[in-house]
Amino acid sequence: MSLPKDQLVIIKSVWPDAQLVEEGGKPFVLLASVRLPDRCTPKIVACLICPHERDGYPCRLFLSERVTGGKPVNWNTSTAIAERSWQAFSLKLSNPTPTLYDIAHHFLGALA
Amino acid sequence: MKFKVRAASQFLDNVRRDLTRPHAFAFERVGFVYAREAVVDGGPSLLLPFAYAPVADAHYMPKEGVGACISGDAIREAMAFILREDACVLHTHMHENVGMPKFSRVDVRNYPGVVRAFQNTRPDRPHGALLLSRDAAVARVWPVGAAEPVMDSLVISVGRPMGIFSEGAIYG
Repeated sequence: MSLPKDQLVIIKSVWPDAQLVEEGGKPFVLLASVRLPDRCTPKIVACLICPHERDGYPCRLFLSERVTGGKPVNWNTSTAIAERSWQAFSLKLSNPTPTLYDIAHHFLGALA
Repeated sequence: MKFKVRAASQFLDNVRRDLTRPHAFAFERVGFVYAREAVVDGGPSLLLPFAYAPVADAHYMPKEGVGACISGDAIREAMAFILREDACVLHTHMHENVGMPKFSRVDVRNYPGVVRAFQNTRPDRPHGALLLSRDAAVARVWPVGAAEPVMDSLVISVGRPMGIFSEGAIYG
């Protein structure tokens, strides 16, 4: 399973260190270093964009740590993907076909 | 050259929430939306916001006849950010009407000087201005090296409902 090339171009222009990773034959995009607003702790996290259905969500964003100091969200998932542990909060995007950038932007916007 | 500012509706709502906070004496607030540029297959230039920073309370100056006057320190902070992060910047404020917002004469008169400061700092990136209303947004973007903005830039609010806005028209 692959991801559209133009979406990868776009996500790399925003987060140049974005890289494709795979688990269980499904693609994810790893953002190794995402800066959050100063009010958040931690201020820098790794993110994993999951552009496909998982855990009953059409798409998800996993973070390396639970973030505090931002908006209240329902952290409901701790999991391991690609040999790393991840945290996720509950959010269902209304956009039926979000791009990788849309997923990251929406979730980060909901968090902080 | 045409520009599309593409942002999650969630992000734009966050910015709106910040810009509607009251200030001790300024009638409106100002912030900076930082974005990165992407061009895919020769299409329009996409400006993709990745951060927003409000102007600090202390960087507003009392001035009659304008909604808000910000200090040189506020501009310098934005200049430092785009230099450090290799980013585009959009001077951002809000008119609290519903429907399409319209840049005021004060906005139009003052933007070229502000944008020139950004162009001097990061001449290899487009910069500009973003104006929000309660449910819409318009942008003016100055291409690299340009003295005048591109007037028909689109602002795309990704979410539900999807919104595609440009000065003078609403597409969605």
